[in-house]
Amino acid sequence: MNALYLAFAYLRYHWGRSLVLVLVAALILFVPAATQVLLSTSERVLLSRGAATPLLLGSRGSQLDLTMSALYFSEERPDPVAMREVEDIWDGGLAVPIPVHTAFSSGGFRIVGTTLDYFDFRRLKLSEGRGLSLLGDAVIGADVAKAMGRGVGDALVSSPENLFDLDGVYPLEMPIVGVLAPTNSPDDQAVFVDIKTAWVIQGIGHGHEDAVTAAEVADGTAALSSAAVLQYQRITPDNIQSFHFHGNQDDFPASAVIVVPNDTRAATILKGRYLETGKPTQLIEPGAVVQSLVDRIFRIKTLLDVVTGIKLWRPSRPSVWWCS
Amino acid sequence: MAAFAAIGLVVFLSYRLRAREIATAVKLGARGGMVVRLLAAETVTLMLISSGIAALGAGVVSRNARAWLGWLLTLGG
Repeated sequence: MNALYLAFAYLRYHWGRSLVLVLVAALILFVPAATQVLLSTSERVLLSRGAATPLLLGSRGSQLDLTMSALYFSEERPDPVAMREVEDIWDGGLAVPIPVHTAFSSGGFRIVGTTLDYFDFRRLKLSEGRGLSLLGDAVIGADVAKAMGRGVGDALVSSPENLFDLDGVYPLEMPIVGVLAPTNSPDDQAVFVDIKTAWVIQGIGHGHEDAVTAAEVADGTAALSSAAVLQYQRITPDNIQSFHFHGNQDDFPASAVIVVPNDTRAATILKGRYLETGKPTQLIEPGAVVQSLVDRIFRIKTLLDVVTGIKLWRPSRPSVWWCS
Repeated sequence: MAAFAAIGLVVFLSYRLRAREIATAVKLGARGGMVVRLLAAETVTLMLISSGIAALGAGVVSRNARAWLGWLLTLGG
């Protein structure tokens, strides 16, 4: 007790030196603790997103790219999977397929073309506005709303993917009809549209306008209209009826398909169907893919910890000798 | 482990810098055991305060981890 009193009196008298020591020690203790908290949280978040997505169907190739693209809306662009696969899963009656199309972006945020099932599947709630109902509607994540300072009533324009792609991707203006409540997940940083809207951005669907109207013929100004077909950059109540898609919808692309099986038996049957390596598609368990990624990251972290320990230990010896 | 090694190093070096003070205390009649008890008491006091501050900081990080993680990931993107 006496020693503690004396020690405290000494520390108080030399308060400057004591403060520096306290801060240095606190920082040394805080940094690894905070890193650990953030790492374990990131592990939990990554794994929970993976675990919440039972199966993922995509084109054969990198499983990690497919998972990152469909679950975290990263910039990886796996080869598209045909909508025929979605229909096959519907027809099988073993699972609910939810296609996601993540090829485009707007203002740095990924545009996710999907179906209404996605919102139920991820239990996404609206904090403002309404859900998707018309072609061209956009519902934005909470972070998108905050970062862009936009809300219901404003509009977003899709970013052109390639300036030299003259025949395909036209920027599309999309009215924001809803803002999602924050979920602290990649959904906060996404712009959700109907998958058909994503196909319009891709150039698969478009609208037409009668270039020559009866009034223009009567006025004699018909010759001024040179283009018979117009590509719309905005979908409005006036032109929405003219939008249509060319080709067979079964061939239209999706980046991946989230597959929600009815039960474990259905999941096993489905996995068996995609085991053939000759098929152009693969059915993966994103949870296992994310787990292997996390394991790899933590193996590297352990290695870094060992290296840091060695580095801290080795320079300390000469300084001790130098001091004495 | 590395953190504890670093703290040990900091405390050790701070006492090395105060070697003359300790030598004076010994000259004034303080026994070796007393000096060790004083230094231990000082170290314990310093560590308690530091641990408190670090725990407070870690608590704040833990409470906001998900939001801050999202922010960090956005920076990375």
